[in-house]
Amino acid sequence: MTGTMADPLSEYDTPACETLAQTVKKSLRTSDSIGISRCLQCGACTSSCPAARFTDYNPRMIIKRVMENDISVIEDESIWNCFYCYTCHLRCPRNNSPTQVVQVLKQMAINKGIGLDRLKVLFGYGDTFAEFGVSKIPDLYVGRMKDDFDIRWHEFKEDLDSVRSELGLGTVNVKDSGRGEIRAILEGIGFFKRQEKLKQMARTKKPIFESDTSNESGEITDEAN
Amino acid sequence: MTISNEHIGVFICHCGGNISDAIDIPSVKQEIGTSDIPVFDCEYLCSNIGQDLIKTIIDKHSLDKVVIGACTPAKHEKLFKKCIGDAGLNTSMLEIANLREQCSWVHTGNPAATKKSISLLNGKIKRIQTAHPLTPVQVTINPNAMVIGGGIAGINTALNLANNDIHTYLIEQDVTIGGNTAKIGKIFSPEKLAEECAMCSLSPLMNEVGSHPNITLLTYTEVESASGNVGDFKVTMRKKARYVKDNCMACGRCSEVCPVYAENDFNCGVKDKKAISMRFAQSVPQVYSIDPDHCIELAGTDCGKCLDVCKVDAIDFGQKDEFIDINVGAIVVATGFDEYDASLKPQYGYGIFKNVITQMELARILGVNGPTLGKLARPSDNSTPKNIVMIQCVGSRDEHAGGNKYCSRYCCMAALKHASLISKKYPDANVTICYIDIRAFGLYENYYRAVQDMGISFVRGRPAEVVERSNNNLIVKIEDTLTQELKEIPADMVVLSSAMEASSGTKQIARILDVTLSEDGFIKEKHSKLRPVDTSRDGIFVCGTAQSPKDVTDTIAQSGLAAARASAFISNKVISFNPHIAHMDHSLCNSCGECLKCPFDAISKNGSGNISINPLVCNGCGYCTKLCSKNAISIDGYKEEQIMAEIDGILEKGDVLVFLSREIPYATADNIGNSVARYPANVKIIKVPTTTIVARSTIEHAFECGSRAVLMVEEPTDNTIGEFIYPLALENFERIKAELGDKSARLHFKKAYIPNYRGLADTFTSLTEMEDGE
Repeated sequence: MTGTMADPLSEYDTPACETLAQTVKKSLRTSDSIGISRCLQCGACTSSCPAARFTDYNPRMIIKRVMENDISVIEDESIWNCFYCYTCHLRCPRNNSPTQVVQVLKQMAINKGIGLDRLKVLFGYGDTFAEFGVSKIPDLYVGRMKDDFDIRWHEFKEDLDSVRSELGLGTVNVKDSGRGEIRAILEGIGFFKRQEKLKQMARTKKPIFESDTSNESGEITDEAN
Repeated sequence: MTISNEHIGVFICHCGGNISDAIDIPSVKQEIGTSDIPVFDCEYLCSNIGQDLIKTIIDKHSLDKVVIGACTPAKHEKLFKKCIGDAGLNTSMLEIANLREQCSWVHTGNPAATKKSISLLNGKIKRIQTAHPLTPVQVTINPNAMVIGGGIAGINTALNLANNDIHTYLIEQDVTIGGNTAKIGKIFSPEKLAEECAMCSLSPLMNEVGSHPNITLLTYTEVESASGNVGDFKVTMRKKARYVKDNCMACGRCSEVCPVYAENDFNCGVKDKKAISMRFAQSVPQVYSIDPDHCIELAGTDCGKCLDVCKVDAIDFGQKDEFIDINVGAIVVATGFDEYDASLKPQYGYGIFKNVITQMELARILGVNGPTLGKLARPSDNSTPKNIVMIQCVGSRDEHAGGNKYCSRYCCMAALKHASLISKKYPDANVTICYIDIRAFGLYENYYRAVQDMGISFVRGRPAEVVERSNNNLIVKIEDTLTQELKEIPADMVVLSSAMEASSGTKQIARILDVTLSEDGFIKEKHSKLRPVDTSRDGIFVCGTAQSPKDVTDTIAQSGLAAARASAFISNKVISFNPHIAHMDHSLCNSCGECLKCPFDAISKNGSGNISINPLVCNGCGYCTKLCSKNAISIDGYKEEQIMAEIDGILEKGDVLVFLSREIPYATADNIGNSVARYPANVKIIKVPTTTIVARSTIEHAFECGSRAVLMVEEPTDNTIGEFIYPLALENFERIKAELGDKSARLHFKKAYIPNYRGLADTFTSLTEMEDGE
């Protein structure tokens, strides 16, 4: 992490390690306690997953392939079907989190110029975070989740503010002053630059590699040994 | 302080070559033997011949003190103490030099081994010259036993103790004994493919408890507090008012006329009992009781119907709770389990959807004395469900908050048992078991195979959720992980195999008795293999599901062992405490009270300001010796002059001196020998209770005697003493190191773990290689 041009987040995002599982464990995107090597292959993730219900995405199989160090998993189009509802994260009995794992895999794919056409729909997360200080599920997905998660979920979402006020909590959105602070932090850590770079990649469908960093591609290299 | 007119004798064991092959015993004898100190050797000192030799020589040479050079004292110290005790000596008049694990085995082929053995023996000779006789505190063990918890574990323990002629108090918080075994209806069995009637096995045992002359049964009684010491515990109990006297004939007229229905805990909360009732027909004792939460007479309404119909005048609304104190020598905790609260996994709908139940509730439904009299009926409409789906591992093998990491061990078999029972009685029913792994360990595999043959469906996967559709019917969403198919299995009833958790009573008793719990909340055994029913406190034992999840078969096996251990403990009659405990010189004490910081609460101050040390509680760790600014406290057998004397005897220029705490560190060093690892012969070891007793003056004395480096090795924090002592020992080390000035780099500190003996050996070696020990 030397030159100012380097994306300062990459080595935390997709650290170069001997195995895919190690990269995933070490990545800042996954919790320290992630139980990836303890996976039981019980399928609680897949059976809970709205994406798995309608597409060929199977979080259990993704974890299996990561454990088997199958690097081709980052080329699997199905990983782009996860939209971070975190139900697998909540349900996994081994403290595993396929949704966090998939985030690392997606970043590794982006670093290699894979899946750039799938990026566009995800910008909503970053944009809402920058604007409101909390990340929101992009509108595109909300209608579907109502079908997948049943009316109880929808009612909960609709009534969130009244539920929160009953609990003595304010609105889920961050106050204006706080939003300014969050924007300043995002600015400071290069979030907007990164978001802009990704948007450019999505537009041009071409990867942008940093010239002055060696491990930027997130590839698993032998040099790491 | 040498008492010159005392006679010391030295005995060296060859250990059949284990010692004599590496150590030249004739030259050792020549080197240390003098006209005052005779030296003897023997092929095996631990044999009868060796013991006889020691006794004969003590007598013939009028010995007062004995030094033995043999294997580690961990192995035969008790035996040798008994031997010299039999010969009329005080058992403190013995020192053992560890010539095997600390010399011959770690310096095999090294000519320096002989020289080292001479110094080790010299150290012990000098040390024993300063020794004074110690009298261990002895306590007479109360001959009675107490079993807390009247389930199958407690019943079996109590019967075994009573049949061993030990008077036993069996304490049960409920109005009857029987526990969960009384509820489960049928029991699976490892050697038969049939399910046995639980009550048919249990009821005769319950009756035997009720009529056994050696058993005092106290039901509807809770333990309030406990005091006293090992060998004589005093337990205070509250015997709750049942408002029915013991002359009750259990005719049942009262219950017939009682106008109030109440939730029945026995039937998992179904409202099918009266406010005056008996738990179940086979209850022991056969005495009705009034539930004060439901009786309207007790609530102030004028009812009294039961009073009117009772022919033996057994109803007594004026009954009060009684407090009872009982003294016992041994306690067995058998306080059982609670079923996991499945509503903590809301995705499965327990408590939300009527037709989602637990295995225990299904057991009651299938039980002929249950709420449906054995008819399979689902709660929403009492219809017989056709499609039944069971979900395994609910609250087990679950790392999330609210779950349990462990496997509950019984549930695979319970699910198979219920699937089998349903399938036999309702051949049209479809039972599906959703599992992650089926754990039918040992001979239970036979049962699993038989259930498979019945046509039960097995789907491998942990379901995501249960949802309710019309008519209270359910859907179980699951990935069949073997086919990668997402399935939605329709179910008329869903049965959750809820985890087995330590009961609230178990946790409460652990607090009252001050015994350690495991991180999973069960009462922790002293050693999972060697001491599986001993708790962290001597004289208190545990068995059954209070110790870990287990089935009836394992519970009965373990409760027999708990009875045997408790019985063996009581039959010692007298318990001798370790004499190497803190000793207070009251002439030096200024009653400042610093020593009251004892982490084990062994030291107290009485009304007149005098400090006293409880010899039954003190474990001799030595921490208080550091708290006392007047040096008024010392550890008997480990006074500084004794340790100094040993240093004088063993140290030569350039040696590394190691102080090892008595438990894990000492055993780890022995393990280096057992594993035939090596370290240089100029490493010399002195055992201490804990390194907190090592003073700066002792270390400076070691440096003066030529020691290049001093290492202190402490108990790790995960052992009962280390948990408290390790931080204090580290503090003591750091303070001494700071005070040592230019010599401070020669003092080192480490903790030990028995499996990591190599790490300790490497530390020993590296210290001998350092320049001036730095």
